[in-house]
Parts: sequence; C-alpha cells; structure tokens
Amino acid sequence: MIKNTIKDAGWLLGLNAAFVVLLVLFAVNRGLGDAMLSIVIPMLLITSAALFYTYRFSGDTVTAIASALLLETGQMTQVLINEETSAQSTVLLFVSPFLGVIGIIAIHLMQKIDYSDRIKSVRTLSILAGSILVIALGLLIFGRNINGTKAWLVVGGLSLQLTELFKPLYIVFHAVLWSAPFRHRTRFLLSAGITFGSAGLLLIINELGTLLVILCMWIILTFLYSDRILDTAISFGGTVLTILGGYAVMGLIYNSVKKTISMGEAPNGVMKKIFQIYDKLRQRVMIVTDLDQYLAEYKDEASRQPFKAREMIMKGGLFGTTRRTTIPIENSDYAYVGLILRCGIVFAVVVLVLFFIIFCRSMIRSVRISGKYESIVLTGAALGLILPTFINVMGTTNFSFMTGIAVPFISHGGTNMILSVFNVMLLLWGSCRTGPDIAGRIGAKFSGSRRKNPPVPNTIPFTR
Amino acid sequence: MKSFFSNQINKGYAVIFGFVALTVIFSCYLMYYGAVFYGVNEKGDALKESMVKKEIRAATVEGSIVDASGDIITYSEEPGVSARCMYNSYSQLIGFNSAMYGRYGLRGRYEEVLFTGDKNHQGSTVRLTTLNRIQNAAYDEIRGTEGCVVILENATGRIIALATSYPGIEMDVNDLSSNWNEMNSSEHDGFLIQNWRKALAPGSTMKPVTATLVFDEGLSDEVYEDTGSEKIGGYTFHNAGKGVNGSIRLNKAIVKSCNTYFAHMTNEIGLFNLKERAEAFCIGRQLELDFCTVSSGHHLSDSTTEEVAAAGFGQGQLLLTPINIALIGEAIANGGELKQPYLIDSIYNADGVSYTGETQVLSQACSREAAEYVSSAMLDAAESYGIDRKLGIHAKTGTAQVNGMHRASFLSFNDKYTVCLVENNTRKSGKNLAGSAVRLFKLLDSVNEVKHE
Repeated sequence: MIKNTIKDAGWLLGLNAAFVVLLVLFAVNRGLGDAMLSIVIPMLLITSAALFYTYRFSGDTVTAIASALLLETGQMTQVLINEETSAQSTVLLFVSPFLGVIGIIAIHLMQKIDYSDRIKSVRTLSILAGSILVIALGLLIFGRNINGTKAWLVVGGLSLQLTELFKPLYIVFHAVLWSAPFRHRTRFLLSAGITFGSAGLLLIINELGTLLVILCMWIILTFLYSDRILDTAISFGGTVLTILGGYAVMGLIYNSVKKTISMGEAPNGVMKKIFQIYDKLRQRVMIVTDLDQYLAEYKDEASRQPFKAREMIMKGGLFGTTRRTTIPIENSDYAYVGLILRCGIVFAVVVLVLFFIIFCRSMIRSVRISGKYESIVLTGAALGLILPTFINVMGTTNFSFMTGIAVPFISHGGTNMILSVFNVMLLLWGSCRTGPDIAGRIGAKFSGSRRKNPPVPNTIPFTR
Repeated sequence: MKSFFSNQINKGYAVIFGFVALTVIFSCYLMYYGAVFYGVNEKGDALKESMVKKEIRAATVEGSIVDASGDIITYSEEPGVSARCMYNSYSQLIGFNSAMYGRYGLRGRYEEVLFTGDKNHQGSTVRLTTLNRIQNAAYDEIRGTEGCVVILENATGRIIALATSYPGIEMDVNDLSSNWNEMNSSEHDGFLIQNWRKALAPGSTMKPVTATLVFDEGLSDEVYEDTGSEKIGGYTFHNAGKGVNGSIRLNKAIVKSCNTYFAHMTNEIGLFNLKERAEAFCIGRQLELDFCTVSSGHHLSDSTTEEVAAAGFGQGQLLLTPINIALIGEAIANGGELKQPYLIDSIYNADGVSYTGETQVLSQACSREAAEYVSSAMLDAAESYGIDRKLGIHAKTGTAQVNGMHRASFLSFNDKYTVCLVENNTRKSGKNLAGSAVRLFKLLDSVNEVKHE
C-alpha cells in the first residue's frame, strides 16, 4: 500500500513538473495573465474531473492527469496558433469540463453493452461492421472534400469528420470479435475482412491517415492477441505487400496512362480513375529528401508546407520562440509543428512522452487485466491515441510520409477532441478493472462504504 | 519463439519497447532535422542561417549608399521596404535587391552589410568613392549609347565615376517591373548592363602600353620609315585612313597613332616581352575589385606572328575592358605605378566603422622614365585632337573594328584624374569622345577637393 502510494505520488509529481513547464512556456509566450486564465483555471477544473473519475471508477489517475494535461496543451496550442485574445480563450475554459461530461456518458454507455453470448456477439459485430461500412459509403456519396480528403460530412453548417469514428468502432469490433468464441480461422478472416474492407474504402476517399492507423492497429492487435505466429506474419507481410504491391501496380498504371495521354489518346475510365488516385497518393506520401529540388518543382503555397514546417522547427529550437511563420492548416495537420515553434522541441517531446505514458500504463494494465474484451479495448484505445500521434508528427517533420491525420487533443477539431476524450474514457474504464490506484485508495479511505464499486460487465476471461 | 508468441505479457512489453525505441529515435531525429546543435547537420545549418538572415533582413532598415561627400544615393526608411535610388546614373552600378528579381550589383554583393542592423535595426551605410555630380555628368555624356565612363583618382585608385548606358534602356531600379521586359529582351538577358566589364579590342589606346615597352627596350630614338604599310608574316598592316607618316620616332608615332610603327616595333621586341608588359598593366589578369571581377585577355601565347604584331596597336587577340584601358592611363600618370581601383570608401553604422577602402599598388607596370616619355607624347597627342594644352590633359584615342562596327575609346588623364570613355557598336571614332572628356575634366577641376574620411 505504502509502496504503491509513493510510486503513484512520484508519477503525479512528474506530471506536475510537466504542467509547470507548460505554464512557464505559455507565460513566456503570452504573459502571466493569459497563462493563469488559459491554463491554471481549466487545469484545476479538469484535474478535479479526472480525480473524480478515478475516485468513482478506480481508474488510472496517471492516465487521467496525463490526458488532462494533453487536453490542456491542445487548447493552449490552439490559443497560441490562432493568436486568440484572452476573452476568446476564456470560452475554452468550459470545453474541458464539457468533454469530461461526454466522457462520463461514454463510460456508462460502455458498461451497458452485454456481449456475453455468441448470438449477441454476432449481432454486435454486425452492428459495428455495418456502422463502419455505412460511414464509409456515406462519406463516399455525401462526403465533403476538405484539405484533400473526403472525410467530412457537413450537416446544417456543422462539419463532422466521420472517419474519426472508424477508430473506436474498429477497436470495439475487434474486442468483441476476439472475446467471442469464434473458431480461430473465422475470427482471423473476419478481422482481415473488416480491416481491408475499410482500408479500401478509406483509400478511395483519400483518407490515408486513418487507413494507416487501422492497418497498424490490425498488425499490433494480431501480434498481441493471436497465439499463432502465422497470423502475425500474414497481417504484417500481407499489409506491407498490399501497400507496396498496390502502390507499384498503380505506379505502372499511372505511367502507362501518362504515356497514353502524351500520345494524344484518351485513357479508359477505370485507368483514368486509378491514374487520378495514384497522382493524389504520390503527392501525399512523398518523403522530401531534397527540399531545394522539391521547392523548385512545387511552387504553390500548400506544397511548400514541408519547407515551412522545417522553418518552424528550426525557429522553435529547444525552447520555442515568439518569431512567427505562417503555414496552411497550422491548427490541424501541422498543430504539432506549431507547438514546436511556440514552445520548442523539449516541450514537444514532453507531449510525446505524455502520450507514451498513457500508452505504457494502458498496455501494462491490458496484459494484467482478466478479460480479453477489456484488454483489447485498453490496447486499442491506447493505440488509437498513440498511432495517429506518431503518424502525424513523423509526417509533418518529414521523418515519414505526410498523410494529414489529426493529433489527438492537439489538433483543432471538435470530432477529434470528442473522440480523443472517448478514447481516454475507454482507457479509464479498462483501467478500473485492474485495481484502484492512489485516488481510488484515498477515495475508499474517506468515503468508506458510501463509495460504489464500479459495475463489472459479464466478460469471457482468456488464458495467458 | 513459440513460447514468446504464446506469452501475452512478453508481447505487450515488446510493443512498448518498440514505441520506446521509436520515441527515442524520433526525438533525436527532431533535433537533427531542426538543426538544434550547430555542426551536426550541415545542410540544416545552412538553411537555418539563411532563414535567420531573411528574418534579420525583414526587421532591418536597408542601409544607405552614399557618395564620397555623404550625398545620398540610396536610402530606405522602413524595414522590409526596398531602398530608393536617387539617381538613374547609378542604376547599373548599385543594382537591385528584390525577392522577385534577384540580387545584383552592389546591393547584391553588399547585401549582408546593408542588412546588418545596428542597435537601432538600421543597416550599415556603404560610402562610395564616387561623387554624384561627376557620376551624373558622366552618365549624361553617354546616355543613349552603349557607352561607359571610368574616372579614377590617379594618386589613390579611387573610382570617382563609373557610368554605363545602353541604347533604349533607361533603367530605374525603383520600378523594375516597368522595364524588366525590356531588359530581358536585350542581349543581356535580365542581368545588369555593366559595360565596364565588357572586354573587346581596345584599339589604339593599347599603344601607350607598347610605347612604354619600346622606350624601356631603348628603341624610342630608332627612326622608322613609314610607307603606309608594314608586311609581317603573311599580312600587310596599314595606318588608319591609309596615312603615310615618313620618318618617325616613338613620340611622333604616338601622336600620329601609327599602326605600322607599332606593328613593326612589336615584331622586333617579340611576343614574350609584350606579354610580360601587358600583364604588368593587368591585361590578361583577373582583377578582383571590391564591386566586381574584371576579366581581360590577350591570348598572345596562342597568337601567330601577325596577331602579336596587331596586338601591339590594340587589335588581334587583345580583349580589354574600359577599366583596363583606364588603368593604362592611371599607371602612366603615376610614373608607372599601377594602383588598384576601388569603389568602397568605408562601411559604417552606429556601432562604428567596419571597413575602410585603402590604396593598393598592383604593380610597377613600366619604368618611371618610360611613363614620363609616353605621358609627354600623349600631351602632344591631346593637342592634336584639339584639346587646349593649357588644360594639362594627356590623351590617346582608340578606334577598334568589332564586327563591322567601331569600339571608340578615349583615354585621358591630367595630374589628378584619369578619364576613360568607351562607346561600343558605334560609327564614331575615339576622337569624337574628346569633347566629353574635356567637359568632365573641367567639371572635376571645379570640384575643389574630394572629401576623404
């Protein structure tokens, strides 16, 4: 008990240190008044909310606080990027608690799902798979193209990035699939089917970021939850071969169509469509090795993003700067680079570490948890946070190719924010199955018998 | 392997380890990519430096360029606003510094100092050795022609005026867009038209160089019987206008600009002596000046006997820029001592003076006696061009044949200044430029003294 309390207190102190760094950097950039208003008050609110969750559900306090810090960092980043006034940033004060309430609702909804018998599992799976397909097809028909991807649905002036829903649906689908008593081959085929089905649809609407997240998720989930080496080999090899092979075949078609066009002939419909998809892909997945050559070739403002992003990283240096560089889509795809510019590489790495802490805590709990469903939810939700983060930050910093995916918490966007909080709630919900931590223990000490135990769903345990 | 795959805890830790490795590698990469530590990423460092330079430039008021008396040539009042040039006579010399059109001329070459701000974010001031009044007058003399005027101060090598012009192009660096198309349609393809860098055959303005050699070889008193032609190798040389001068010595040969005399003497003296003397006058050498690089050529080593003889009177394989021609006059006026021309008097800002131009002796081009002899002959020559001897102007004209047209040049000096006028692609002869030279000398005399700081 004492040992655990000291360990937890250590975590909290560490996280508070990150909070202090955040506060100082914000104060340097925006002044102390803004720092108090934009960080301290919302931070107190959200920390209280986080502690309440962990007290109520015995969830992981470290995850809650780290998530709260990330949520606050995201808001700070948006305030800094948009150069909002204090009056505007006060509006953001209410965003964090509001999202917290949404999270509570999400947790309660999760508790109510009963997937104990096979028939209900099949029904749940069908609903989940159907939802994924409906969203994908809906986007294909009604989707609005914003920033190069047809991932948006505009209803009455409200823009929703529906592809964000893919990730939690995909996680829950796999949690149900792997915890239900299917035959091994059926399970793997269903898993591969939904993965490649959604990947194909995402490719058509040019949403490469989510596509990549789903493929990575599939490989890692297969690796973790399948006992057969062959499954992992197939998922990894199949994915790599599909991507490279598909890209190569499309490249061949592209060149052949290009040749046809240069000869003054018109290509047929299908070939032309593939040509167009590949042309978009080629530009989106380009890793810029020679910036000078790249700039000579691509002269429009949007194509200069990699160059501008590098300028921002250089200007930001280790500890950030007040010098400015404007870049298109800075508040969304390039929010992480915007954060580097304003708060520096050190702070940006701290942000990555916060994501990493959440991921580690959840992974450790996921392998200790008794139910396979909870374990996959925990792993999937953790991957749902860390994979988009890494894919985005590596793309925007030219470490890998740029796919245009939002960084959870940091990038602008209501759908992204809500889904990020939903992911955290899944993590907290899963973590409450592995025993209380500091907040839970303190809560239990003071509230005694009045504290309600969290409801435990009927799960199918798996053997290690 | 199988046991590893059947143990989920191991696999969980393997995934965590994978992300740890990725985080560490990525953090290191970020610092490398952002060139956080100097010297690790050379390309990144260069990019960072250029970025910083760009930023400093945007926040700095471009430094002024002033003449030797402190009179403003270019000035700017706001950061990020290109400096305005006060005189078109300087356009081709100071050039422009534009994000759209590039960086050329002095403003390109001295971009760094013009945008190196002092404590008030004011770029450094570049003081030239020129005088605006003389520069404007020099430009007026050649305006509308493909001409060039170089005026040097003999004792120091300071450039008092350096003007250039091109027919049909009145370049205004304050409004590049209006004459950019015109510039691009000319043979210069958008670059500055700096005729002082254009190397062509010098014509008879080369003769003073050969004359110093003839004198130093002890042949100045040798009488040459000019019959109007001189056959060397397989080629027969003639005087301009098929003139016949009879018995002449060096002095008269200079005054009469006798081609046959100089062809004969050059043939006698030989290739190696001429080559050596030409190089002593910086002909065939690359001159690194503080505002540009000037290249001239003689190709004497590859020339035939008749070509070497032709070089003796300024034709053949000789290619000289107006600056080279002016240097011939400067060296003779200085008793054979060749001083490097320079344009930058000083560079300074509120923090102090960062650069001061100094006189440098490039070479002793010929003996003092030879220089005095040739100088005296050029005084007689000036008189023969109709210039009043009392003005103390020494001169030599040159009219070279270039692609069926003339390259007219007029090399002149008095005890203080050397004035060289050159006009390319013209029907004029060198003598036609004498009037311009005299006007410029009179103006120079009216300027009491050039202020030095």
